[in-house]
Parts: sequence; C-alpha cells; structure tokens
Amino acid sequence: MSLLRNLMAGLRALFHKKQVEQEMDEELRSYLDAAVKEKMRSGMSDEQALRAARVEMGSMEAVKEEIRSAGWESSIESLWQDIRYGLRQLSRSPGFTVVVALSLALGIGANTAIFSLIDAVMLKTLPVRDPDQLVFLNRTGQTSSDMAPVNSDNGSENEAPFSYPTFEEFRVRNQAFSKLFGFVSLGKANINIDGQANLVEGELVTGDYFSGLGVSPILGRLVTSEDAKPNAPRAAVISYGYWSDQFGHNPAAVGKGITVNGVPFTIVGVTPPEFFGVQPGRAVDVWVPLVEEAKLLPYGMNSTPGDRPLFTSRDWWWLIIMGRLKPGVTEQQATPQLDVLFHQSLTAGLKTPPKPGGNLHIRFEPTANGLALLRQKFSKPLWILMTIVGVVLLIACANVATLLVARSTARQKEIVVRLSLGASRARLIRQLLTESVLLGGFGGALGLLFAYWGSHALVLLMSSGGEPFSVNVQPDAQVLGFTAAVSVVTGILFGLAPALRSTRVDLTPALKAGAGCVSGVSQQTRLGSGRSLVVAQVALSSVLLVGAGLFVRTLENLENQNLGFDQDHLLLFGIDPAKNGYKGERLNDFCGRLLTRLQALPGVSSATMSEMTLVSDIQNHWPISIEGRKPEPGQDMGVDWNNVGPSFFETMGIRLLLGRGVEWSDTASSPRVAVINEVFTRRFLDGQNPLGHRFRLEHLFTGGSPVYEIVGMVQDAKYASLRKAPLPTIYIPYSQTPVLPWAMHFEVRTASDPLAMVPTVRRVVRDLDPNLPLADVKTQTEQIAETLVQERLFAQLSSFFGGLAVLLACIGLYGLMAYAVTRRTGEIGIRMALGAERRDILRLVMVEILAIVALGVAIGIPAALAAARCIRSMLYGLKAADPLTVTLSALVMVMVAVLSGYLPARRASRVDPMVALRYE
Amino acid sequence: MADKASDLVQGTLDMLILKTLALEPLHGYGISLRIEQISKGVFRVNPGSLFPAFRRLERAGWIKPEWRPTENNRRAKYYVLTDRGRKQLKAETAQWGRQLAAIARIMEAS
Repeated sequence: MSLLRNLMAGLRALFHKKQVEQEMDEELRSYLDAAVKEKMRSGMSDEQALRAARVEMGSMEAVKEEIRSAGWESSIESLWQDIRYGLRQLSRSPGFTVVVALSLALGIGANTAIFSLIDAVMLKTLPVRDPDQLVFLNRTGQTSSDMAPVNSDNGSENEAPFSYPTFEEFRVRNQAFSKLFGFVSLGKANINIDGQANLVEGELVTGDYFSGLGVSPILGRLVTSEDAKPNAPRAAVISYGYWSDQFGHNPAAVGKGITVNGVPFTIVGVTPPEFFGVQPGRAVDVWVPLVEEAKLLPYGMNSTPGDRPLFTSRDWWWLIIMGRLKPGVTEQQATPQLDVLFHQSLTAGLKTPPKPGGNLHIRFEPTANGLALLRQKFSKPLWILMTIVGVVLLIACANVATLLVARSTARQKEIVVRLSLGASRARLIRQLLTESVLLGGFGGALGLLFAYWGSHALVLLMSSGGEPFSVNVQPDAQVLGFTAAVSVVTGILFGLAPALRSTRVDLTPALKAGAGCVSGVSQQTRLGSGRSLVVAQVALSSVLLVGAGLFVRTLENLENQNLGFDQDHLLLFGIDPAKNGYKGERLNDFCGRLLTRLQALPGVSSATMSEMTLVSDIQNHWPISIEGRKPEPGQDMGVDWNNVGPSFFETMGIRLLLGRGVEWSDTASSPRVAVINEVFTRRFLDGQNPLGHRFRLEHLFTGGSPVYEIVGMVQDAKYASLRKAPLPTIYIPYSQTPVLPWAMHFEVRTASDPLAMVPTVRRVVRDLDPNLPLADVKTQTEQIAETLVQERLFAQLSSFFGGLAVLLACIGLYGLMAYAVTRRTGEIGIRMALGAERRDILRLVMVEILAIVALGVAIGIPAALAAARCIRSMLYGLKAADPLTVTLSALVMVMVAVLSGYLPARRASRVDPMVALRYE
Repeated sequence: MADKASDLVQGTLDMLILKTLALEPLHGYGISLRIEQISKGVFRVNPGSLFPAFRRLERAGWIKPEWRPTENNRRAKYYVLTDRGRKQLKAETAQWGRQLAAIARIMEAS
C-alpha cells in the first residue's frame, strides 16, 4: 500500500515535474514569508527580517535538491541524466559510435542467433499444460537377445520403446499416473486427399495422447480414447501447418475424408500452431489413433510376420510411452511400482523365465522440453557454434576496449576537469559505464535484427539435409532476455577497464599539461593495456582460425575422397509400394516392370534399383556365418547388406572384379546368389577366390536362415556414410531377399542433366500406378551434399567467424599502432635527427608489431590445440593437431597482422624530423 | 547548543514532526517554529532537513499535505497527520521510551 503510494508519488514527480516543482517553490516561498513575518513580529525591520530569514534558509536551490533526492525518483533522474549525457557524447563522435555498435552487433547478433537455436532445440518447453508433470518412460539394463526390441533404433539413447501388452498393463494397473499414453512414428505417411497423394510425417497415438498432453484443438476436436476403440469411426487430427498448406485455413477441412497409407480416415480437428508433436525438430502433420483393426504399421516395419502380431506379442518393442504424473507423486515413489509391473509383464511374455536378478529397471526422463532426438543430435554442434560466437564476441569486446582506451586520451581533459571540480571517481566511472552499456545496448538492438535474419538462415541451412529440422526460432522471452543480458555484460566488460584506467589520474600534472599532451596516465601503462588487449585478440583469432582450418579440411577430405562409385549424372527416387498394398511377388513384379520401363527411356544410359541408395545414412547390417569356416573368437560377423536390382554395379559405376553381377535371371525361384566386396574377401575368406563360397543370414525374424552362394566380387564402395570405411558388404538380388524391403529406390544414369529427366520418370510411374507418390527425388550428388550439411555448415560458419575475428584483431592492431606512432612522433623525430634512417624506423615499429603478433600466436596455438581435442570426433582424415592447418593459421595470422601494422609503420618512417621536433 | 538538525539523534526528526502534527495541522514554518519553541530553542531545524523529511513522511503515508489559507489569507501547504501516521507516532514513542531508558541505564551504570 505505502509502496504503491511511494511509487505513484515518484511517478508524479517524474512526469508532472513542472507542477511538483511549482508546488515546491510555493511552499518554500510561503515558508520564507512566514519566517519574515515572524521576525518582524519580534521587532526586526523589513529588511533585517528578510536577510535573517534568507540566511536561515540557506541556498534555496540546495534545499530543493535535498527535497528532490529524498525520493527514489532522483536516482532514476540522475541515471537519465547520465544517459542523456552519454548520448550527447556518443553523437559527438558518430563514426566511433557506428563502428563500435556495428562490431558489437555482429558479435551479439551471432550469439543471439545461435542461442535462439539452442533455445528452440533444448530449452523451450512443450506447448502443453504443466509440462513439468510429463515424463517419458525409459529402461536401464540389458535386454536378453530373446527380447530383442524391434524398431528401437531411432537414433536416441533415452527413447526406448516397449511392447504393446506392457503398455496396456502399465496403463491399467499403475497408480502413479493420471494419464499414460503411447505413440509411434508412421514415418512418411502416404496421405491421399481428393485423389492427390503426398507424403507427410504421420504418428500413431493411443487414445489418451492429446488429453494426457493437455493440448486443445484450434478447430474441431482431437483424438480421444473413444476413437481408439475397435469399431469407432476412424478419426484423424492434422497439424496447423498442414491445415494451412493443404486447406488454406478452410474450416471445412474438418469432416473431410482422407486416406492414410490406403486406410480411410475422417479429419476431426486441427492442433494449435505451436504444437508440433513431442519431438522438437520432427514436426508431425497427421495423428491417427493406434487401432489394431486399422492395420497401420509403425515406421520401419512393413509387415507383421505371422508369429509375432504387433498388438499381442511381448517381444516386439515399438511403442514409446509417456505419462502425466499425478500431482505430488515423485519419481522415487512411482518407479518401484512400475518396476514390479514391468517384471511381471516380462516374465509373462518369456517362454523361458529370465535369469534371476534381471537388471531391467524403469527410469523416467523428464519430458518438459520434448523428446531428445534432436537435442542429442544437435546439442554438441550447437554448443561448439555457441563457443565460436562467444569467442568472436570476446574479440569484439577487446577490440572496442582498445578503441575506448585510445578515445579516453581524447577525453582525458574532460575527465580531469570534472575530477578536479569535485566529481567523485565512482560517479565518473558510473558515467563512463553508462556510455559503454549504451553502446552495448545499441549493439544488442542491432544484433537482434541480425539474429532474426541469421537464425532463420541457419534453420534453412540445417534443414537442407535429409532429416527434417523444423524448429520454432521465433524470439521468445528467453532469447530477448539473453540478448539484453549479453548486451549489458558486454558493455560492462569492455567499458570497465578503460573507465577504471582513465579515471586513475594524477590531477596536478594533468592539469598543468598542455592541451595536446595530457600525461596524467603514464604513457607506458596505457600502451601496455592496449597491447595486452591486442595480444588477446590475436590469440583468440588464431584459435578460431585453427578451428576453421580443421573444419574446412575435413569437408575437403570428405568431398574429395574416392567413393568407389560414380556420383555424376545419377537421378535417385524412391517409392514405397508396400504402402499401396504391393507385397511379395506383386511387389517384385511391379518393381521389375518399372525398371524395364526406365531402362527403355531415351536419354537413360542405364537404370537400376536398390533397397537403399548409397550415402543415405541408412543401411542394413546383419550377422552371417560362412559355410566351412569357423569365426575366430570375438570376430564380428556383421555385414552391410543391400538388396539390388539388375545392372546395379554397371549403373553405379562400381567395378566388377570377379564373376558376375546381379542379373534379370536371378529370380525368386532361381538359386540364391550374392555379390560381395573386397573387404568381405579379405576379412572373411583370407583373400582367397570368393566365388562358390556360401554364407547364411542369421537370426531373421521370419525364421530360417537362407543360404546364398557368392557369384561375384566388386570393388569396395561407400555405403551408408562418407565417413565410414567400407565394411564387408553383400549385395543380394531384390527378388531373393528374405525380408520385405522397407522401400525401393531407383537409380537412373542419364546422358545429360539428371533433373531434366524427373517429369518423364513421374509420368512413367503414374502410368503404372497413379496412386503411388514418388519420394526423395534427387540426384546422387545432391544426396551426398545433404549428408555433408553439418560439415559444410561448420566449414562455412567457422571460416566466416574466423575471418571476422582476424579482421577485428587487425583493426585493433592498426588502431593501437597508429596511436602508438602518434604518441611517439617526438621520439621518432629525435631518432631521425640523430641519424636514424627511414628503414631503421620502419624496422623499429615492425619489430614491435611482430612481437605482439608472435606473442598472440604463441598463446593462441596451444589453446587451439587444446580446444581442437573437443572436436576430434567431428574431423575426418586428419588429426586434431594437424600440422598443416596449424602452420597455415599461424602464417595467415602473422601475414595479415603485419599488413595491418605496415601502414602506421610507414607513416612513422615518413615523419619529418623538423615537424616532429616542433610538435612538442 | 545544537543548531543543526543533524545533531538530532538520527531518525528523531521524523518523530518530532509527527508529534508536532499530532496536536494540529501546521505548515512548514509553523512546524519548525513549534519545535524550536517547545524545545526552548535547543532544536532549530533548518529547511534543508525539514522539507526532505516532509517528503519522506508524505511518501510513507504518515502525513498528507493540504493547501489551506493562512491567518493572513495566503495559500500555504499544511500537513495533516493521517491515521497511519498516528499509529507510527505511537510505535516510535514507545520505541523512543525504551531506547531512552536503556541509554539512561547505561549512562548511570558507571
């Protein structure tokens, strides 16, 4: 209450200043009047009374000032004064202000941009009710091979699926959760609206998914547990983004019929725009209830083998479970209970009871920020980028501090005068800091603009890879707070040292000195502090240069290596016939017919197909055993495996070394054959002639382990990734594969631009089946480039920031040397008068520059080597302490620095001794 | 003889103003005069201390200003003790009494 009154009165004093001042005047006048009257009453004359009263009152202004400073608003007023004074000072040197604000804006903007990505990926909470109550079920401990979870390879350590029966038992019998729900990705689902087929991210969800998350629809309703009942009408929910893309925000979308992978659904509602599902970065467009009867299969499974039905089998682990804890229930209370249920569920499912002391336990992962898929993948790169831009900002600070030190010379006179008029040092430091924080504020405001642009550009760059990367980088309170904090801290960081230094003066000599030469601060300390700032800049810049060099060379190594196949003029596209009901024989038949058509197209020199395209980051990896050979103990018998069509090696340009490739004559009924690569022969067959050897694929879910005879050997070629050296690889004719491929891809080698062939290819596919959408249409070169997105991003960004850092350091060095040369004009004049040659002067200055740079590099290189160890895992084809990179970086640093120091040095050598001597 | 408010025990000026206003509303000079008269000239409060104190007390809600005509029909700012001010005066008086007694005990102890 009294706080409020105080606030209001203060505000009134601030905003109705005139009125408050008038009242104050009037009150004091009436006081004076009354005093005069009183004194006259006691017998003084008019004049005497007035004098006496005035003496008693003292200075009217001083009294007013006392009154003003009794309220809190006075400190605001003095701050406002400081700000206005600071603004006047800054506007007096616009060039300085602009340069400083711009370089700070670059630094702060870069930091804000990276931080807003970190915020979006790692810090933002899900837009759901009470996200802190949400947990995600994980398990610790080993699963025995009998319980091998299927589809658990979703790229994240703390995202573990469970079997459907386990989920049901948890859901019905647990006491800890108010809601327990599950979901699983459908992958790219084939959605058909009014005959238009397209592929979007789909998700299968249990009935309580939306009510458990606490999401409310923006239109219509969301999927409920009623929709998950066996005979309920099929209901689908679409995302806001999909609604605006496909339906242009038309409310009539609700009630519309669509098919999802061929299964009919009715759209019942739209989620709010900020909701993208629970995995940041993987934006879901369509949610459908998980119902057994709908026969929709989770991502990565194209068939349910007869003996393991999806919903009743206890050893298909595929459902990700989340829950909302009841209020007040802690993890410690809930997990033992779930452990019991989990063990009951496990033992119920096993034919042989588990070994005693089974160490499987339930663990909770907090889910407030969503699941960790993206977080894990991008957290390290983002922190590295954050460090890089942090260093850039440090350099910018050091740079601005150098400028401020030089500038404080120009203001020395002002500071000395103010100090001698009685201003306290603290008051002056406050004034100087206000100015530097103002500069930081300008930089921050400008930086926000840069960041807005930069973070969107970054998201674009990062999402140009194969994986979706859709995050919400709209600046929120956290980002704005971050920028504000960084601006203020930056302002203090670069402002404090110069402010402290320039106010530590010895007044008497300073006042005595002439206008041109204020030597209150010792020459040596001033230059010294400038020098160490420049050394710091050079050191930090060399760290960034080494980092940039390592990233650039990594990218080069990846791009210029021998792939083992020919990536030019190759068009890739995928189809997923399984989603349109093609299976077994019909699937083989369809793919065969399509391939024949493609091969016959004019402009196509050859065409083939394979389950996996090369360098797509996806591969089959499977254990085998070779007939007549015992593996050495501990030997890894895993091979990379691809199902390929006829003329695969010819089309891909993989050289056939022995025997034959896959041909049309290899059919489902002909003898099973395989082609292997050189590593296979070296590792498993001791380099003998592989032809005629037979191997067995082990542990197939379909039961059995088919035997293949080796009929050919090809040279090693990269398979899934550019980074991995080729592993033993088997190529099996697509018609002889023991498990249904999860998709088929086609590779078309063209005579001219492969992308010009796309319309023709689309027409051919449409002719065969109008309902089959094409997926991932791109050239092989594009595909390889996509897998290098992160490497390219790092090479580009680190080069950019490295360049920026070097530029800033050079500006700093130039500024310092120019200042030093001006200061030493007299000395140089004397030296020249005493017979020094221009050359000697030039050498004098250049030696000093070299000393500074050498010291900076000498500090920077070891620091860079230490830092490079943290990025070792991101490098390829070179060591963290790559001698070439280090040498080049040091050389570049020295050369650029020497160039920037040359101008002031030359000016020093041109000093006219006569002028210089008169100068003092 | 102390002729400066700063010679007053720290914080007692506020209490003296409140006490003065407890009898009747007064304007600035009236208050200063009353304090001087009652203390028989021991305390003379100068305007540089008096007016900031008014502003403090006003902000705290213990006194409130009122513009009234003076005895010679000029406008002047009178200060009125509020209910909260009365309560505060009571509290400060009690506190003062305790402190005084304590100080007296210490001084007499030797």
